Amino acid sequence: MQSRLFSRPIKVFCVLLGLTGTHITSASTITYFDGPKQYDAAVMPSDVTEGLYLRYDHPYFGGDLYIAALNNGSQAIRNPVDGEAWVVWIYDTTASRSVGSVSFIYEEASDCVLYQNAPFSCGIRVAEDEFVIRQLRIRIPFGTQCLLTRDYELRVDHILPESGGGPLPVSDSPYAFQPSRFRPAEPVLATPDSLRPYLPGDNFSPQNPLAAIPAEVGVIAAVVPDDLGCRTPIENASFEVEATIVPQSGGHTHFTGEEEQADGILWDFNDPAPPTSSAPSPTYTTTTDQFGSVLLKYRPGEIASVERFTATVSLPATDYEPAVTREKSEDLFIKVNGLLHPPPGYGGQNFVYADGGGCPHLIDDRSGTSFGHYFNSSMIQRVATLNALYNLHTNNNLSLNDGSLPYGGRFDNEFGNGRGINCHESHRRGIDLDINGVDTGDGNLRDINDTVTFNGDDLPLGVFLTDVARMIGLEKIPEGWSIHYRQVPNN
Amino acid sequence: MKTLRYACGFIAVIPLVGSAAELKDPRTRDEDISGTRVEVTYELRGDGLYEYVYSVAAPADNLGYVSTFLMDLSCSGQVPGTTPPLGSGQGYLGNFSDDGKHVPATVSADYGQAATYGVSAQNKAQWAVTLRAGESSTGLRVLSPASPGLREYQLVPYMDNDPSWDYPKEPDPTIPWIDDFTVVGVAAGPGCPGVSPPVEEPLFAGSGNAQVEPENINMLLAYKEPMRDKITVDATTEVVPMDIVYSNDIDSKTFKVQPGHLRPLFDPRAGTTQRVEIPLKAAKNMVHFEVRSSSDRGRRNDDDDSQSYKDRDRFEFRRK
Repeated sequence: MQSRLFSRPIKVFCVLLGLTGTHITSASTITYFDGPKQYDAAVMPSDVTEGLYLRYDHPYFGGDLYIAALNNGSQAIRNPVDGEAWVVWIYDTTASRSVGSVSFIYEEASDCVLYQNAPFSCGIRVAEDEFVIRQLRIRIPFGTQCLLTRDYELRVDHILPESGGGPLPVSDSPYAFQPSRFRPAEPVLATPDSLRPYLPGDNFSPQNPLAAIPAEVGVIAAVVPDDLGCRTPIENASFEVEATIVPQSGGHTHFTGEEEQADGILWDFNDPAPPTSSAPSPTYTTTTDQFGSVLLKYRPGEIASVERFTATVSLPATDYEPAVTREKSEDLFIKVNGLLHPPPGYGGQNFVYADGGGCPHLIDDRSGTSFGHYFNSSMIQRVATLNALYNLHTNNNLSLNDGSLPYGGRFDNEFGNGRGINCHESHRRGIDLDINGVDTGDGNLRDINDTVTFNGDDLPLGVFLTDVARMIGLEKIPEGWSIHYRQVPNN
Repeated sequence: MKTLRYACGFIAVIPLVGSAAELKDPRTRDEDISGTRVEVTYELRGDGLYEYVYSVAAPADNLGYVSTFLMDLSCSGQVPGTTPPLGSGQGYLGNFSDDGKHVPATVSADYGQAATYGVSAQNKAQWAVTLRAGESSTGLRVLSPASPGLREYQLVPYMDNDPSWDYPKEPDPTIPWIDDFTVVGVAAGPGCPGVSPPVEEPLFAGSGNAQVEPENINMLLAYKEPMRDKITVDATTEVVPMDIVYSNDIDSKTFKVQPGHLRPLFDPRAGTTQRVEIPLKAAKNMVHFEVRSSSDRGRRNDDDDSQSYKDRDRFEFRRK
């Protein structure tokens, strides 16, 4: 039986894909997975011609990739027979395995091969007995997508022996090819787990003034890999990182109704200092370096919340390829570490939670009140102890007003009150507590000037409270409008 | 039984009179309790424990009232020894030491003498004595195996959140607060073995912030007289004697006195003691001292640790 196979193995690297061959002189149509595109082979850039190219994720095939290939017509199938089924596969001669294949049926009337029962590629009769496949689209299963530079062969065989015969003869000179056209995959984005916001100092306590604590600076790193997993850097891709605040994540209220804006500053890693301007700059645009990477520094502002860093890498459309935009987000906690909400019934006694004043915040589902009752672990022990001791001696509970927000950081100020954003500045690190007074159990607060008797000694309720607070390491902060305690440093 | 008495004094009552309709300026707030007396007796009991009994008496002309009396029990580390039985009584709150670095001690109070008592987070025996002017508390007790040594005490005034004072919304360091009226002195108490100065040779380290001043720094300047940081004297008293001890480790060049006109009175030579008579003006006289260790030469003022290597003491002398 006469062989109706390729006259010899298709030479992948420079033959099958060579577009400079004389057989292709008019516009060709390649159907991309993301839409048909008409282009003229004459403008096809040389790099496209240097190998198998155009790999796209296909949304319907679980992330498998495809290689579309063009044949310049120098390799032909001899004496194709209508209805013949062929299989073409890429053969890794080093690993002795197939890395991808495609099957199709030849339709003599149209000189096309049918791929999955749909016309896919029509060819050219270059001679009475020779048929050239103009295009191939070969599926590369997930996990074997990186076709590194090495020797491969493109092999063709009849699917059924009776339809055409045995395998093609092995190439006498296999051809190497490169995955010639790397495209950016989703960037890999690395952020710290958390960064501390800027904490302003204050000197409410003359004996133990709080020094300002600068915000922690973290490194935001991104690498743009190729879409085949070959670890080939995508250089000079447009790259943008933007930090946005996950709405309501920090317990803030934002009374303007506008979307909350991150207040940190992004700058280039190689610049030792951030921009001199303190204005928020949570967006940075650059291009990937020769390693396909971008390194930035980020210094949070005063707002503590979950900030979402979204990295977008993009390449513009060309005459032969569509634009590519890949995006990846990572969440970064801007927070004072270790802040906790008093568990219900902690210390055997429940707190009463209440809020007021000009520093309101969102509702905490757990407590049913605001998000303003968080403390560090040491302070929370003291707060619980204060309440437990107080309850033990009075059968009343403390009515807690503001501690810290869940992640610390800035409180918002609904009304301004002439204080701008400087609301509860000293509360941002979880060591401050305002109490409204003492709850009598019916929602009313007991007057702290009431005289009470303990151990045969008469004293005002407020004196007793402050003395107990001092005993457990809390000092009273001079404020005329609230009962404000703060954990004494270094204890 | 041995009885030691420590500073006492009296000041005139200066009533603050203001319009009932107007909020008072908190800068004028004066909760002076410097005339409050502290006495201690101690004895070694048959069971090998020392019993220290303190009395605190607020004179009739105190302006503020004494909320709390604190006696230092702290040591640089945990002190081995048998802790006496736990405190008891209605006012006993417990031992709230953050780190356990104190002499073994049990704190108690006679009934009716202190509302609450216990060991504080910062390793102090604490009694809520709540003494208005003219009142006193006795029977404030510490039971400890530690032998007597000189210990720092504090008399803390109560300052409430009285809305009649017009406190600003922002901190203002010029407004006096609790620490400005807290009296710091020394008295016999359960000493840290080998550390606390002996009772027989009283020496006051001054009122420096012990929270940030290491022990060796705090003792760069010490005083044989006065033995507390706030005292009152008669209106006719023109000078207050001060015996200042310059340790071997001071850097004399860094010695500072405020007000500056007092500087010529001092001759800060390392390893010497000097008697100086501080001239008094009317009412309140504040004197500040500052010195650095000789081993600290070259440290910059903007060094983060700079403030920790200065011994800073403050005295307040009131003429009634």
